[in-house]
Amino acid sequence: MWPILASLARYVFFALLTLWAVHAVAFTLITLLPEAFVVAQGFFTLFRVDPLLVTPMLGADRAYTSSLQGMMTFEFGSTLDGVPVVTEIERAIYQSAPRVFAVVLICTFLVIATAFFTPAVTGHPMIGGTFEILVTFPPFFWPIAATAIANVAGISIFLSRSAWQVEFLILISTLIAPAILTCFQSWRIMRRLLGEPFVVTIRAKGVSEFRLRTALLHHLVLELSPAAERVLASVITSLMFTEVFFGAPGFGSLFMRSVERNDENLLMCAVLLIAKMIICIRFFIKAVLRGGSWR
Amino acid sequence: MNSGRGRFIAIGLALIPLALLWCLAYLYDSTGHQVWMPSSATNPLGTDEFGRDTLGVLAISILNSISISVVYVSGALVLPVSVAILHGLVNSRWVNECVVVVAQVIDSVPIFFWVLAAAASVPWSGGSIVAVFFAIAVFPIACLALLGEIDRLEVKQFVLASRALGCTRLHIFVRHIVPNSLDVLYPIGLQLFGIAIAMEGILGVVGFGSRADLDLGSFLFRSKELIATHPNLMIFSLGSFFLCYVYIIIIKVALPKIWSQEFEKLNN
Repeated sequence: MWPILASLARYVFFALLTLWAVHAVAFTLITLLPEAFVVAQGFFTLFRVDPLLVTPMLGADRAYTSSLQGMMTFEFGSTLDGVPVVTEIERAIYQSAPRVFAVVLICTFLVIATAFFTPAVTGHPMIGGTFEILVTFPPFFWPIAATAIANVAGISIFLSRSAWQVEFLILISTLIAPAILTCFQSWRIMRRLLGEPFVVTIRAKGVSEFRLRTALLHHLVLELSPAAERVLASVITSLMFTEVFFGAPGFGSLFMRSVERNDENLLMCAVLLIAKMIICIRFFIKAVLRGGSWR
Repeated sequence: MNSGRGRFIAIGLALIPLALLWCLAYLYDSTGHQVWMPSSATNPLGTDEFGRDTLGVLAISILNSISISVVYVSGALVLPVSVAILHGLVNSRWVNECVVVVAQVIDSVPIFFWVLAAAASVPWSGGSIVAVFFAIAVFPIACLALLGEIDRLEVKQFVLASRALGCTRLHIFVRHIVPNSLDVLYPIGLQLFGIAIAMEGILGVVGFGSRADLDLGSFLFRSKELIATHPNLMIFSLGSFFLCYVYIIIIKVALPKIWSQEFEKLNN
């Protein structure tokens, strides 16, 4: 019992440490860096001008401690429009959550399908190479390509688009990048597993292919679990472009709006929210599924 | 096929597309055209809203984006390579642990979010802050791969044999680890190159930079704005990105095979 609690405490400690470090980097980037030249001017004039005159220029009202406190209590002030950041974020999550769940569900189905349909024979190396590059394909490529295909298919989304058509296109173009990632990882793991000596032994004993694949699914899920955070990152990144491109409200649109308008509070909150989600998934995988070491 | 010819073909295949683009860019004539002209013998892809030849603009944009990406990737590889050298020379556990912790922090936010946040927060810095945050964001990918390769080589039999013969750590690192771990730099560099090209496009989609800039990001931005009236621009833009990635796939997968003909010949 105690070793489990000790390892859980260690995971929580490292998760909090990571979150604090992300906050520190994000705070430096979003809040401190824009004032860098003001800081330089301040130092330049520090010995000639009263330091009290420089202090307001350094943005003392946005102190680090208050920002850290805001992260813990999830209180990030207001957007440039005066709306509370938390309200905006809640609304955006409510709009994007169904899309994320749908993509995750389809990816899960694809993992199962890959487990059952990966051939045991060696494929051409170009297949692996193509998959590898497709994973790093620009995320904006897919919504634009989906729009082009939809236009060719006669769905004129720019003239008379209906809600379901837009949602369908958002789902498809958000799905492509994470689907390629999960399929590629599953395919690679299954290819390796199918060549393992224990699989050869099981097959030699006459176990049916279905039962063998079902047993291997367990191994696949355990080995694939570290890629879950990458899949989530891929879904969020895809949403950032698909929602903007199709003009749908959601978390991606909100982040892009904060980038375009340089809305510091909103940007900070969005970055930290993504970090929290990914750290939570990482913690869940390490603590519950793997139960192994911190690394 | 002898080794010299194999290498010649590999380098030729890698350089031919770039040479073609350079020829197109050289032929690019920005004067004396009307705006939005249809495709003709002199302007195969027509002209754009500034009266420029679209094919020439595309060729220059691709070359510029490739050049910028090469600079970004070269800069981004400096820190991981330095850490890998430190790890190889010192082989201390804390170097590996520190890299893992830093990678956990950076990986907690997707690459493009870091880069966009940097570009939004410091718009007056030009591309320098983007380059810095690109280097920071891709640090885990490059560094963990390099450290993993060094750790893998450390337990190879030829390294263990050298150590048993009394060779120093520096000697083993220079003679055995570095030459063998260089192979992993090639795919890492190409992967980062793909991310850098994507980043160019993303910054363009968001609208950083000027409309008149000649790079793929600005071309994508203009084509996104004009998609309703001139959808062909978007097709050209997507086609350019697609060609860039096909080029990366080919030089990543096919060229090493052509290059390494000499090793297969030796094995045979």
